[in-house]
Amino acid sequence: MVRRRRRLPSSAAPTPAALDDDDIMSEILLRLPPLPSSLPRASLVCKRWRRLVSDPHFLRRFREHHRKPPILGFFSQRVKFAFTSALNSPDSIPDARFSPPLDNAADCKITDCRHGRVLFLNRQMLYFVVWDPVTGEQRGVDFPGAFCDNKSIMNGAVVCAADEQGHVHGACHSSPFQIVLLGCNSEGFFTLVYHSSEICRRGNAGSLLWPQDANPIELPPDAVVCGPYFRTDCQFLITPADDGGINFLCLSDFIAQVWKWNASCDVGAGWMLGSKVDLNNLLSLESRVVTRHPQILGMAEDDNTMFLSTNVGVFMLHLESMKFKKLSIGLRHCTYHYTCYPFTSFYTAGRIAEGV
Amino acid sequence: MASAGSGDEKAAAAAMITLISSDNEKFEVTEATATLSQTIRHMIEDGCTDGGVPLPNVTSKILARVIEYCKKHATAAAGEEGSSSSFSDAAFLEVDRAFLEELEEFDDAFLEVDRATLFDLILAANYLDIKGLLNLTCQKVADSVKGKTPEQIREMYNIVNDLTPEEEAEIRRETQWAFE
Repeated sequence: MVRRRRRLPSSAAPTPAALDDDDIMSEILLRLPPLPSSLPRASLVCKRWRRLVSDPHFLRRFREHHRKPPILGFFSQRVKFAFTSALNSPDSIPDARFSPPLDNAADCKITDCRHGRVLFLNRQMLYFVVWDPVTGEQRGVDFPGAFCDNKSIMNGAVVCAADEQGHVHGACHSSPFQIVLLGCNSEGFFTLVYHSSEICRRGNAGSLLWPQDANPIELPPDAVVCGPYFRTDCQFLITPADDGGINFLCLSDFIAQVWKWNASCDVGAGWMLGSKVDLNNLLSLESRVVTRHPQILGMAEDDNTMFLSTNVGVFMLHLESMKFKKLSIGLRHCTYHYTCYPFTSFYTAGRIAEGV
Repeated sequence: MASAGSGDEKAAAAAMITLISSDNEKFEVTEATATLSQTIRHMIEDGCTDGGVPLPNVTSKILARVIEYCKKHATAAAGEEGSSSSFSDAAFLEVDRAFLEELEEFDDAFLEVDRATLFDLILAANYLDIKGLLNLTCQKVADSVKGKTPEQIREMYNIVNDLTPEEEAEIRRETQWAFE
């Protein structure tokens, strides 16, 4: 029996016949923006819409249609672990939705966030934790015995290892993943590669950093403008480029330069200046009340988007188009330098996620 | 040249297809235009288009609009094939870009229809399996729903809320922030 809880005005236009067709309705719902509020709102329209947007086949098509998950916000761990939304209401997911159920939380440091998973390292207890903020699932793994020197693990990354054709990152919950840890001990640099279905094995740092040839790459000469003060006055990021090469981003005072490593250049491999931009002009910073220079907070690599803290707020800056968005978050986020880990996901909550 | 011209015309005439709307109106279209519809393409491949293709689900009013869309996009597809076979340089890319812009403008103007026509176009695009048209029209409806509350969506499309209070409460509890 259909419950009619609200009488419709007699003048209302009838429901278009096309909306009664499940296939057509799915085609329409598929084209809603990939934002966190889209599917919950659609599911609250009626039973049928709820059924359609909860269907795993629909959710897979939804991701394939949109290709790229949105940047929902970022995780940071300055005093305590927190999520900060980069989106406005109603797509702004509260911090309370994402709280990792960690033992020894104070010793677990966030080290990476990629493809919808967060990697924590606990250097005291010598283990790492992989956490899926959407499903809440977490997995802890001890460092392999041979590398239990707590000083040796320097950094790490978590990446999705799904190999099925047409896989779109952004809801990789049940897909395999890989952890790559970079460490240093008396023998030199090493990497540890952990596959979610494998045991750890030892690699070497050269194969991680420069897969083609283990030769070091010199920095773009013109980017190094700060001489001996380079490390303190200048910030840089190395990120993968869309064409499979690498980008070098250098931020010195208010000037951001993006260099592209061109391996197939006629005159030999070399750096090319991709773009150079004065953030003071671009972001309309308050140059007269400069208390400090913009700081790189983090980078969403798949989106080529940088998070920047400035004296007027936190910005997301797309490095190809130089389009930017000022986040509507408090200035308390701008007062210290800390690292943020952008979180991109096709967020589908609760019952919807269970079907994925 | 006159002789070559008439030869082309003959070839074109040979590739004409007749579409018959539900109200029995006949439309002559080129095969290139008609085959934007996968449904008609399959009919042509099966050789069952002699004497015209009856489309009992599509009125003449809607069929005329669908053909207008297909004509424009068939020309665009032919243009793309032409440019990809020639060497690509800045001038050609410029032409391509201008053409795509024109196509976008056409699509925008094409969507300036009342709601009943829009949904009839969706039904026709679905029945005739015209991917581009289905995408265009469904996107327009999705855009109309974007950012609206469930109540506003129900009101817009006259949809009855048949969720139980318990189901509603469950959805709201899981994603409270999405309704603020």
